[in-house]
Amino acid sequence: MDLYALTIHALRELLLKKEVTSVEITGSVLARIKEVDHKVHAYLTLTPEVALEQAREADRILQKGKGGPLTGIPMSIKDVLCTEGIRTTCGSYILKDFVPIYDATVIRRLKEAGAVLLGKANMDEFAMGSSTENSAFHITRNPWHLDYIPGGSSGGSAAAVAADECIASLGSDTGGSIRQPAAHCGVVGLKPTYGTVSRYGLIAFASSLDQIGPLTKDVTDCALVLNAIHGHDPLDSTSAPRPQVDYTKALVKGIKGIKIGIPEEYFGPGLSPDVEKSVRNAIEVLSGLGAETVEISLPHTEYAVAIYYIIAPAEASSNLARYDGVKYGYRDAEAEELLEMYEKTRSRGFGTEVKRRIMLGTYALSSGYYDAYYKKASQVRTLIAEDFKKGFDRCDVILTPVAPTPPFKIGEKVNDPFQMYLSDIFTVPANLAGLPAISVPCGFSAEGLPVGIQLLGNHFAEEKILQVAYNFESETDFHTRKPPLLS
Amino acid sequence: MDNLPRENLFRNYPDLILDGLGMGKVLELESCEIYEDMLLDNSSPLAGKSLELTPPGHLNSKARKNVKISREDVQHVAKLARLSFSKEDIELFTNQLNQILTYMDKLNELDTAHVELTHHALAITNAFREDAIRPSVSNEKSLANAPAKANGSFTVPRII
Repeated sequence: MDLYALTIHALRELLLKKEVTSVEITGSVLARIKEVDHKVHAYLTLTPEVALEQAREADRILQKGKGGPLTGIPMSIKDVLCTEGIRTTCGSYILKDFVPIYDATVIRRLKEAGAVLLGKANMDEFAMGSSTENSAFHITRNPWHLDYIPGGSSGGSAAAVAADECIASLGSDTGGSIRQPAAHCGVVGLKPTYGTVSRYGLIAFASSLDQIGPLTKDVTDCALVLNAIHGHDPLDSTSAPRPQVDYTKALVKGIKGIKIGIPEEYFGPGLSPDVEKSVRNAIEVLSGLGAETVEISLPHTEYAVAIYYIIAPAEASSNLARYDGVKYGYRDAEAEELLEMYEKTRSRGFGTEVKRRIMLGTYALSSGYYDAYYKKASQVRTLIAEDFKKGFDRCDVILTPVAPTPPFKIGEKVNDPFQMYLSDIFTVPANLAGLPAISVPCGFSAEGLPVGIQLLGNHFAEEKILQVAYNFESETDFHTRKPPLLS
Repeated sequence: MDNLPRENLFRNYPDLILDGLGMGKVLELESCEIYEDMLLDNSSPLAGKSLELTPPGHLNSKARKNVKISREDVQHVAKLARLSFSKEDIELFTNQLNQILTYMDKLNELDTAHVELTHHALAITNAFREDAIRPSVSNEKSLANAPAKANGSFTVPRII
């Protein structure tokens, strides 16, 4: 098999046996990008010189018998994460020429771990979207079928992993933006517990919901990347002061007696038969391994989208106030006065979906409407968290579909933002409650497009969901299949 | 703001017009922050007053039942957000925001009178650090992405 098609842990073995070098692996992935990215369009920026230099350095470290699991492994990075000296656009015209003067904490940690950075992956502008169609630059296509969306907002990252245009990637997840594209592209994606991974250097969308996490080819790789990026960071005041964890220790065979909660609210009439079939099959696989399934209820699930589309835009309207054409980013050159400059810069710099959410959030926070929208949503958010608390009294992990349908066609929902919002129903609750959740490939639709299951855990119970995911994966082969169009 | 002559004070806020003071004009405040400044500013006609605020567009919305947000409201919110839109976009956004806000009514099915607000999913307390001097970003680096700069500063179009 070609080097680009391998996992982190498989390449690690080859590197340790000195059968390959990081320069060879990096060269293989760069050639793969050249071969398929004109079809997939996963990347916004490629940095081959930087990557090869880092690969040479990794080889020097490995030669000395040093380094760790990520040393010499080529990764892509969602363009929402600041990379010193490398253009970071956040998928927006307003940041089209922005070159950060510092690295995000996760980038610093990946560099310290010896990872090789290939470039920046496409995304919905400011991570607002579920299809990557909202990128200001281009549309990314699903490697399994180029007429379909890869999901979003980390669609570039998920497509790059699925198309073997990188070995692993980092994404960000505010309402499903790691898990949904992972499911749609047939890869593994984890949103950690809020506070597990530092948000320093993550371009903010909704600060109380945003988390960074891995997109990988299997669960073992997911644990390896999480090992490298998690941990307390004094530069993010919401990062949890907890000891470091070795998540690979959770990857052990056997889930006998583990209780898996199945919430009835996630299996209603809105669920496509293709998705339901694959998810029900996954439940049977886990039962066959000795897990116990428990029917649970999360009665406030139906309110999650309404809560999310008040809180996230409200926080976004505040976070995006910084784009005023003064300190960095695009400035409209025509304006003669300051207020005119602000208005023209923002109106021309932001895309439609971003403006829609700024408007929604500004309205929800405006005088006279705060109680009716933001306060009310924050109260019902408490009820969502209480649902999960009660649910986890009865089970160890909760299993649901990731998205109600398989990937849809490019252009299908782009003019109907409300329909697009509704498709986030199964992923937003984890963000509202701050819970860890992983998406794992579990089947294919009739059109041959991937479907995923979501496993949710209690706060900081990443190890539990990784364990169940690992056992599921060991029993199935969905994660090993490759998109036929690209081979 | 204290040093600005009164006529200049409102120059940059053409829609910040004062009401409730016998001035016979409509009050539309840009933001609470400015409002508070006004009350503290001795040169302001609002000095020392306290006002009952009418939410922007409130009367408009009431007049149109079944409509969550009017075209005028959308225009007003755009101004607050420092955005401008074409006539067609205002029309489109009014329709789309109405659809979305009508959906939000779902939340009113629930009685939340005794429910606490959640701002963070986990119990987060203030994170303090030692008040020690640390290296900071250089002037040159700070200005590296500036759209316009001069003499070690950001420059902007004229304000007054």
